[in-house]
This record gives sequence, structure tokens and C-alpha cells, in this order.
Amino acid sequence: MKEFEQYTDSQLTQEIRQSNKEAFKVLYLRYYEKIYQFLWYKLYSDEKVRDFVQEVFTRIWQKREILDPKRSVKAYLYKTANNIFIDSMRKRSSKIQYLSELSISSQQTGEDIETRISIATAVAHLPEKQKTVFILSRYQGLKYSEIAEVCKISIKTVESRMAKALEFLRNELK
Amino acid sequence: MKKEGSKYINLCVKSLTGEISPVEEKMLKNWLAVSSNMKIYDMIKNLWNLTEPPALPNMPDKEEEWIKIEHAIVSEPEVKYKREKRVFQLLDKGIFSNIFANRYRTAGLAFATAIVMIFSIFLIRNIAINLSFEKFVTKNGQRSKILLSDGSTVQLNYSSSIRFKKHFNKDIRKIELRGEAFFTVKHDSRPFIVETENALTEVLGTEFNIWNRNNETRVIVKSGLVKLASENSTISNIILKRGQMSSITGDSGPQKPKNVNTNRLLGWLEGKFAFDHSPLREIAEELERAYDVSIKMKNPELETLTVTAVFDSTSIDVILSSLCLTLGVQYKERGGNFVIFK
Repeated sequence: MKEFEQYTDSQLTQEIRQSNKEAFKVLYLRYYEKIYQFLWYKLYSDEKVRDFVQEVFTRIWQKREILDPKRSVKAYLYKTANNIFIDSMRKRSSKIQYLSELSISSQQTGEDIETRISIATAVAHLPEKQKTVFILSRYQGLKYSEIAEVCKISIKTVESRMAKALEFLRNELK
Repeated sequence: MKKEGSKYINLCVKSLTGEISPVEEKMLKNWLAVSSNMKIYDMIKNLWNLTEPPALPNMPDKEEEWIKIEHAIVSEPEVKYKREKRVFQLLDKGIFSNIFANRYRTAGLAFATAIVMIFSIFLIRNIAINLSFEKFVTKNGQRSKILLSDGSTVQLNYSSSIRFKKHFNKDIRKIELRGEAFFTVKHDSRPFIVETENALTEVLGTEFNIWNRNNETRVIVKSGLVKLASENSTISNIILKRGQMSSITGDSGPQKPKNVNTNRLLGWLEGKFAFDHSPLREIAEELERAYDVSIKMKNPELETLTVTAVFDSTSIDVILSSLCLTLGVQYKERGGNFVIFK
């Protein structure tokens, strides 16, 4: 298994296509935290994130035969995660959002915490489409081209949603 | 104008993410030559810096999670292995399934003990999660808006705090409030109860404002129905409807409902100050909380003068000037400390 850890995403994808479980495990461990983070920032709660992450990777494995080593599996993972999130939103009768579960260490005091809570809450209030783009860029560090692929939109739309997100935050935090 | 502005905001953001092209960078530089645009850039840069990803609570162990998904995707399980796995899948503990699988036919007692241990760990962990509280605090000069797990929102005014269980109970939603907050409560089968120093306010789904300072609680209802009771004896309670206000001082029962102009009195939500026959002492305290300054009165009789007014919170000086003009008094300031005198 050690050898697979050195593989690039593309090489891993090649192996996974051929049902190589060891390679899939490496991919899983490599991206687990990122996908978990992304879904957690979107849902702002622990509740379903764990199950969703398992669902993301399960789907990847189930459709392993159509994986394309020439395309970004990272984007594909995020795209799957985003789709699962959207599907789950549709199923809910009322769009309930969850309070941020920021972990605040008991040693910290002062203005920092209150400001950070307000900001995180403001981000949690962003309209869904803007929130997804903002989280992928600011928190997950994805490039605009990658975000475009994940959300199935043009780069121009990514840019416009980012600008709108910043405007929204500026107004929320006034 | 708006479209143009948004185009440059986009460039500002791109320069912060490092995706800006040389051509765009030039355009941005030209635009930044104007100092008011530079201000916008600084504001966006500040926002960007402030939006550091928040720390996540405990993430599950990915190795453990892998073991669970491995069960799901394994194509050809060994038959002997499969039987053991099914039992432990029920308990869903990845680590232990490996240990037991190897020690085929362990003593029944050891098995049972392990199960009990595992169950109690889970039970304790779940209880701990359900008991955990969330607390939000604002300081002077600070306001905040908080979204609750049932979809309700709380707007917290200066120098206030709320505290509540992270996950509301199945039959009740309860929040502790000190200071002032405006609640927009989502309709739910569970009652929503706000506990202040000396009162309990209960609603089903509605919009209302609660002010609690100096052992006095005031409730103003914007829409819906609210039941207000003293903390000590919930027997004497009153129902408030839209446009009504009542208050509880100390241990007394609630006062008779009074009709008020909610738009005016809830001006704080829009950054205004609204006072309705309020004593100057109370006005001074509100201003102290909003501007984080100190306001004292040289002559004690000034404290009980009452004022009815609405101020746009521009600057503390403007507000104090108009107040003093109205009352025929004066004020002076020394480094954030104000004194009002005849």
C-alpha cells in the first residue's frame, strides 16, 4: 500500500478504474478531511456530514468504471459532495440551517471570539449559491476554474457570485 | 454604477486569491489610484482576512471511517469472516471488529463485558453532546445576529448575552437572555421560552423584543402572541399580542399590557435609538453600551428627567447635543468620558 501513497491523483484514478481497493483507500484518506470540511461548512453542523462523506466516496467507487484519469478527481469529489448536499436540501420540507458549532477554547476571551462568531454566522447566512462558491474559494482554496467545474457554471459566474458574496458579507457585518 | 462597482470588487477579490491576470492587475491599479476606491479595496481585504476558516469540531477518525466503507465496497468477502463482521456491524465499531475477528471464540464473559463497556462509552458521549451549551455574548458597541437550530433568529443588541442547549429538547426550546434581543421564532410544535433574570416569556411562533437590565424585563410584541410571567410565580401571567408591551420589575407580576408603536421602539434593529418616556439615566446607559463610553450626571436630579425621542445613531456628540438642547442642559467631554450638567 505504501507505493500508492506516492501516486498522483491521476495515477490513482487509473488504478481505481480497475477496481484497485488499495488505491481507492489512498484516495479516500487523501481527501477525506477536505470533503468533510466542505460539507461541514455548508451544513454548519455535524449531523449529516459523516454520512454524506461516506456517500460521496461510495458513489465514486460505484461509478469507478467511468472515472477519467485525464480529469481532476478532486473536482469530481467536490462536485459529488455538492450534488449530495443539493439533493438533501430538496428533500427537506423547510430549509433548516444549523447554528455554527465553532469550537471555542475556554482559554480564549475578548473581542476575537465575538467577532469571529459574527463573521462565521454571516457566512452561514450567505445565499446557497454564493456560499458554495465562497467556501470553495476561501476555505477550501480551490481555483476559480476548479470551482466552475464543481458547480457546473462558467468562470464568469464564479466571479460574479464571489463579488456578490463579498458585498453580502460587507452588508451583514456593517 | 452598481454593475461597474461589482466588476472591480471581483478584481479586488481575484488579487487576493492570487488569480488575477496581468491585464486585470493593470486595470485594478488604475482604479485604485482614486483614494475612495482604495478604501473599498482595504475593506474587502479586511473582510477577506477576517473570514479565516473557523476551526472545526472533532472530525471523525478517517481510518475508522474507512473500515466502515470498506465493508460496503468489498466485492468478495471471505465466508468465515463475514459471519463475525455482521454481528459487529450492528455495533458499528471499526476498531473492535478487527480484534474480535482474529480472536475467534473468545470467552463469552469477555465478549459481554466489552459490549457493555462500548455501550456505556457511547451513552456517556451522547449525553455529553446533548448537555452541551452554546453561549453568545456581545460587548459595548457590538451587535450580533444568530441563527438557531430550529430556524429561529436572534438579534442581539449591545452588551447582551444568550445561552442555550446546542440541540433543543424534543418538547421545548429554551434560551437564557441577559440584555436585549429581538426574536423571530419559527413556528414549531414546541413552545419557545426565553428566561431572563426575573421573567419567563413563552411563544409558539412570532416576533418579539425582550429587554432585561437591572432586574427589570420588558417585552414588546411585533407579531404573534406571547405569554409573559414572573420567574417566581408563573400563575399570574399575561398574554401580549401584536403592538403591546408589558414589563416585570423585580418580583412583581407583569404590568397591564400597554399599546405601543413597535416600529419606533424597535428602532435599534436598524441602528436607531428610540426612547418612550425613558428616564435620562436609562438613556445614558443605552448610549454607554452602544458607544462604549461613560456618561455621568453632575446633578442627580437630572437622572429622572424623561425623554421621548428617536435618534439615528450617527455620532454620540450629535445625540448628546440634541438631548441636552431638548432638556435645557449642557455636557462636556474628556477622552470618552461625558458629563451632563445644568
